[in-house]
Amino acid sequence: MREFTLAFMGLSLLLLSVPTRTHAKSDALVDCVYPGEQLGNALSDLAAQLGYQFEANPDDDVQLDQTIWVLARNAKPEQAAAWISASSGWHVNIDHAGRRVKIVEAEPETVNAPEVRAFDVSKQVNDFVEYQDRFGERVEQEGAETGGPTSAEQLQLVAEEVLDNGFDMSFSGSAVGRRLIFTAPRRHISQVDEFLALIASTQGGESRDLALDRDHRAHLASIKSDTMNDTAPVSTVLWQLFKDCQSPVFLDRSILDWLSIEDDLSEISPGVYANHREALFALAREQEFAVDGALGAIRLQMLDWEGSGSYRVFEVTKLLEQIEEDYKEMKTDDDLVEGYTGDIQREGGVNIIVRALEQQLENAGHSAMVLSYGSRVVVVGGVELVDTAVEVLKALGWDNAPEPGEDK
Amino acid sequence: MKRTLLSLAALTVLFTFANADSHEGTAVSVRSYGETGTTVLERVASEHELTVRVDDEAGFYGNSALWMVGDHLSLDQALMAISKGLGARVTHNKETAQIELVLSDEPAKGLKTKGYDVSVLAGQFIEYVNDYGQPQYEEGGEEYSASEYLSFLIDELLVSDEGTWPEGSVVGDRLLYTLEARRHDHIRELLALLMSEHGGESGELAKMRELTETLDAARYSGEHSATPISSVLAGIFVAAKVPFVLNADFVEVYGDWHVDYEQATETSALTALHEVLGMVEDDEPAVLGVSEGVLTVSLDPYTTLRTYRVVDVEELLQKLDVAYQRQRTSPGKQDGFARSLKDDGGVDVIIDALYTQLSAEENNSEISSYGSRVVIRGGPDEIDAALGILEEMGWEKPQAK
Repeated sequence: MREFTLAFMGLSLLLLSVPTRTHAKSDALVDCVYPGEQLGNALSDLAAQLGYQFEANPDDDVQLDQTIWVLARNAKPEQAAAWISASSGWHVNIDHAGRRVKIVEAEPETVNAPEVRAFDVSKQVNDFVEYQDRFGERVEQEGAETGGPTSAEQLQLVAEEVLDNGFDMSFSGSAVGRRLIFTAPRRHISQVDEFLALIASTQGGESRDLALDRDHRAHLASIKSDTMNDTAPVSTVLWQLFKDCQSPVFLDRSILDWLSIEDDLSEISPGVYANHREALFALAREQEFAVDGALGAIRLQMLDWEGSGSYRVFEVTKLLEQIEEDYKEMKTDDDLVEGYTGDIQREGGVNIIVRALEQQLENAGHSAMVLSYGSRVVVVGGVELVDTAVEVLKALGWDNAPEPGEDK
Repeated sequence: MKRTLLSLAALTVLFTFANADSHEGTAVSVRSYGETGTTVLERVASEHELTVRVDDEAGFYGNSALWMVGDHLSLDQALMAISKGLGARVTHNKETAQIELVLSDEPAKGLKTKGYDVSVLAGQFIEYVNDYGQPQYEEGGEEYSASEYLSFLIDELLVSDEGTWPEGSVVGDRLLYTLEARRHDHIRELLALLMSEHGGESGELAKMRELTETLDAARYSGEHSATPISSVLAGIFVAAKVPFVLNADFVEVYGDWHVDYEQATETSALTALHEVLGMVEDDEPAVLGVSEGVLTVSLDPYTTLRTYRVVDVEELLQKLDVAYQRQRTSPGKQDGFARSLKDDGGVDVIIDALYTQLSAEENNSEISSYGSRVVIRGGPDEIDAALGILEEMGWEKPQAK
């Protein structure tokens, strides 16, 4: 009986141990406590947590001693790899089958199985054509209006510009009639899907990354401390700000190439501010970087004019109608000095709004990417930037309140 | 008296605070006769339970000499005046309970975006253009809408103390600005004066008028030999009990200038002030201005001056229109006249005449217009002189209600 019991226990342990190893891909969570860590050390630690090997790339170009900054706990390994990739500028791949963590040179599409997906964009195209017919900017050059991209191609271009972050998010889309076809990893396809849905909506809306960024900021706003510095390295202030933060955080490569976080000094004391969200704003202003949400984490970056999954789509048809009336009312008699005979189409249609947004966001200290597709305006950036854009649009008379019976 | 002023210059800073009703409303009195900016700021800060943060790059300005006297100022007024005196941005950061000294080109904080509906003003402008606008003789010129012309006027008149334009956006008949509250107040004031039936004076012009009248009424005498001009000026302002700041540009050029000024018998403090300011070099003359209730002495002629008057010349235009019609002769005659007020430029007829007559008086006022509203910018005396010329043209001063 005792032998049987021991044998049963041994079998049970064996059975337990097997699933633990084979389920590493889907179940295992890792801690990424790499605030100012060397890339090589971080990847060795990540591999060790998974029970895998870190396979250093023999390519001399990869600097394993370069600094990365990632702080996250209980994260999925793939997320951790994505954050480390963004912070290092190298593509980190977790090879579960080979039980290896490695740096790959190839584009992610060739690493992760790509997906092919066709999107029917008839609704978006119809809305665009309707906008063009009524408000679209008049082209002075004869015949120029026939040589441009189709409405579907325009949509493809806008989607790519909004979502292409210049690093791991690149696309090879095709516009075929009123369909867009993309071949890309699932995460990218999912972002295209979300973008096209928001463009189709008559209410616009926020992307998931932006909504998540909002949650992360709310969490940061709940953290307070009485830490006071005279002056301290930026890395110290970052640690003070995020050490108790439950939301994942990473510094994008763009910021690590710009700042020397160990050597550059900051005068920001978290204790001076009402909460860590406010202190982060102050640090961002002082060191001239931006904060947004990306890859499910808080991202500190300097990617002015780069695309991002963090954006909001605004529907501005009613505002365009109001502006159209304004220009009609500002017409004077013909051929007078200081006279005006223009209209909304001559002034640029939706570009009037885009230009105002760009100018006022710049005045408020933001370097914003603002794009449009028909009567939809897309503002790319983090919570503060998008909220400032809302303030600007409201000052213009834009009203987001849905009319009764309107779809969302 | 000379001894008193010399000791004033050597004296550092006397600093008092009036009754404090609340932290926000605490009145500040600043007396600095050449003390460093940082020293003054630290004293202000300690009395308000604030700390001072001097940005690394702005350290030079913190060590600059500040010449300023002002009593019962609000904290924001005092800091604005100190900004002018140091040539850097000094603000109260309520979030961090700090007084911050940063470079003047640092982005301002606490900006708000506001949209201004200018449809009524645009409508008046269009009415003016239709009635008096000059015919366009050349085709293909760039056209601007009524609201764009208004944004040009705002840019021209409301340049910031740091010399930047408000950078507005024009969307239909709305103007959009992202600025500090104080600068939004300036825009609101200008729009209100343009909308007003009879125009009117800007708040800063009214304040400057009040302060110069105070100076004129005050008596002053003194004997100064090889005395710093800053000290002499401070003595005059203090004697007249007029708040002042010597702007950084003035101090930089003339701070070490020593002058001889003898005024044995009492005279108006304003006369004394003009005599002393008249001693500086002709090619870099000093200009009196006002900022947030404090008289300023600077070398900046008009760029950042917000002392102006809006004059509605609609009735004068009507008179001139009739006058032009009456001068018409039959067509095709030698020495005949067939043009109209529109042909000669509408409101430009008035502005050209104003400039010609003002320049004869060496009056450097600047004149702009928006439809039938003429805006004259300058000091109280210069603006009064311009109004006198307008009256000679047939403009009637609005009756006080």
